Amino acid sequence: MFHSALWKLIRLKWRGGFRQLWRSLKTVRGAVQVGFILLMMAYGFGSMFFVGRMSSSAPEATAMMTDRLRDVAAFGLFAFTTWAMLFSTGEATVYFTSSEVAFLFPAPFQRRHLLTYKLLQSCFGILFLSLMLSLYFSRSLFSWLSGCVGAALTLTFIQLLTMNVSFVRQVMEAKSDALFRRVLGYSVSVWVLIAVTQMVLNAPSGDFAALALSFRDSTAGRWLLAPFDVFARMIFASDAASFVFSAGLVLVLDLSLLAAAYRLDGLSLEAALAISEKLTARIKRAHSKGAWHMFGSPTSQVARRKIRRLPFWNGIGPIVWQRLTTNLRTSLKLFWVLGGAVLLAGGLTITIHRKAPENPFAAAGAGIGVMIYVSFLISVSMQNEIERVGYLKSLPLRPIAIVLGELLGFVGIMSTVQGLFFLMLCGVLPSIAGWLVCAAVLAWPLNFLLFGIEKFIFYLYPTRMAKGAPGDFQNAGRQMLFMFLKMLLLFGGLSLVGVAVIPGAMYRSPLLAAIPAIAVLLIECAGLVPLLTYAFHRFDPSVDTPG
Amino acid sequence: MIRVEGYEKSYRETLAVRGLTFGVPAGSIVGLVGPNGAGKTTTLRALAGIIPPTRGRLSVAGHDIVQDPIAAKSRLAFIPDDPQLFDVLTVWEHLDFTASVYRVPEFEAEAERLLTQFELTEKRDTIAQELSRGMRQKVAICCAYLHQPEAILFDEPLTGLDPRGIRTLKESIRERAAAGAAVMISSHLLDLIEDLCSHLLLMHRGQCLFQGSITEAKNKLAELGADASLEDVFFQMTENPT
Repeated sequence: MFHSALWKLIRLKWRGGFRQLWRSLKTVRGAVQVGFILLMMAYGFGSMFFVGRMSSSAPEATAMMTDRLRDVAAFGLFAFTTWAMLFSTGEATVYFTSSEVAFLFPAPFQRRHLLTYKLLQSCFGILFLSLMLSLYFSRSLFSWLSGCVGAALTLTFIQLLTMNVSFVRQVMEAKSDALFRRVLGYSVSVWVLIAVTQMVLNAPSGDFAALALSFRDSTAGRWLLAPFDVFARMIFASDAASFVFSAGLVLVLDLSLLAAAYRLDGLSLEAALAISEKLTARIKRAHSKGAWHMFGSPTSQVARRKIRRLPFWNGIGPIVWQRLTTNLRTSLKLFWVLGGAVLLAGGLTITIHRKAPENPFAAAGAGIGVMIYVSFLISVSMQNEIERVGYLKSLPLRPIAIVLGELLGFVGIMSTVQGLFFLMLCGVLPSIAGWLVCAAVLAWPLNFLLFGIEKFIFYLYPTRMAKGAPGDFQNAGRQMLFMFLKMLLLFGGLSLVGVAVIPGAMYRSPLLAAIPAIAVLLIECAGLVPLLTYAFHRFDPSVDTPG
Repeated sequence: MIRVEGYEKSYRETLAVRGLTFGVPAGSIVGLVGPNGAGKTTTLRALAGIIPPTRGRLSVAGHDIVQDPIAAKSRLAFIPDDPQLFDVLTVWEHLDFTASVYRVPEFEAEAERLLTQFELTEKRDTIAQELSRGMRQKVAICCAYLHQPEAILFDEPLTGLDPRGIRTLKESIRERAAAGAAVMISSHLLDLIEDLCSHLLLMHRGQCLFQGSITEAKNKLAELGADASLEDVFFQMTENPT
């Protein structure tokens, strides 16, 4: 059945995790970080429970909400499963850490032992998430336990389905023709694109429920959502009999997928190993170049992409050049994400503008919101460059030149893309073109501030990217605390900008809004530079950092 | 003890190892050398059962690593070039876990002896995350030795070890071989190979260029002179492969 040594390993890992937690509680910093995550968890659980219980007291309203949930749950599950299959296939599902590869692969285990070990490891996450979901939807469930069991069975299904798809893909990659794979991939992409376009165009509004109902009513949607409907009926069952019936069906599905996973896994051992090695290499790349570079490595083809050497500019030029060249050659996905963000933001703006042409600010706001969110995501990816900082500190350049060079590379790319997008929007929303031009100009100092704050916190409290151990509350607390600190600094900075914009908004003058806003942002950016320089200067790469 | 026949390994269009055949008898130490990309690590990993061979038969103590992996792996130890430990486990917990994997009864005495031999006694309760590179390597070696393997595969074993650690490891390898274990060492350190190994397996671009004793290797290239070192032999063979 299951090897006793793997039980022991799971037990030892948990013990090790709690040992670390206990040790961290003995330091002030550790205690604050653990306390913070516990506080946030209590807040999360508490708010979910109360939102679930108190949101509406009228039974009619509750019944209506439950019906609505049943309608959209199948779509939500379908969307989540698709997302999981597209973005975590072969990694989250069958990822073995390098230490697991070193110890477990050459050891006398059967492959199915190892797969069971991985599945057991994911159980904790599934149970935790099920508990949260059942608390949140408690008002729409006939019993809390049925909701929790239903959610656990559903999440297990998604996990197993993703795992099976991953195995099939690996076997196909090893055995099938590259052209066939490409044709298949493109066909699926085009089909999904058509379905999504239909869904967006037919939806009466842009909110999730409207999109879900629009998709459900389309021809493709009816077929695609049919298998997911059983999950929605199980979680939001109205009585015990219908729950037991649906749960029985789902259990059969889960067991079938488990059997298939055991069968397929034997064929994909090498691919699983390759994935593990790829991920280990990614983490190493992230340590030296930043989290963004996890998603690509240079090849001889991309080496042809060149940028002309920039002027020295007191040392800023070479750093910017190195950043841009590295991004160009290793972060193909960065450009995909930026392109995708432009398409998404543009599509959203056009859709909202068509539905509500009288309010161009709402349409522009949605597009601008997406672009700011992308900036935020990319700024977070700049963490973890501990080895790179060591290299940068060895260069015969002034710290101020290095920190400016480091920032300008990212700020330049992001602001150029956003600026072009805002200028393109002028064609769609000519009535607010002045405001959009101002937004294009404001993107530069705003990105500088956003990226600068991220770097500042990283230089002050560097963390290494690592796979979290069970019970590693300190790491989670630290990440959350840093995020909180970042949001606080950003909020402070943007509040001042907001105050500066008030006269312009009152007189509906883009110029009157933009000039003081840019002035405030520039002052804030100028104030951030010496802070960044100081933080970079005091950064000690030799100090072992937690995480 | 270790037997490889017609081993081939391909990754899609690339043939990493082609038609490799060799044997490592019990009690012998074989040095596996070759330039980067020769297929050394691929060969060791296939022998350890980490990656499956595309073709050929690889066996340890008479057990085929593909057909009968549990029996083969039970008799084998593999120490990779970059020792990866479980970050949150202590040194002792690594040994405890290894003992349960290989079902070593009453492992404590042997584990204590290994910790003493590799000067890790003080680090017994230290978590792996806090160990230096060399110490991690020593822990990996202790874990590998714990179940008294009949075949031991080393991939660049000296990386990160201090001079005393190097000496201890060399002595331990000789002891294990003398006790009947078949040892394979992959390394770029030709001095180590010359010092430790009785036999040599030279690989280049996935193929075997030479296998035999080190003396035979030197004799084969008599034109290099009687004082030729293994390094001279290595360059001669890899730069002018026939």
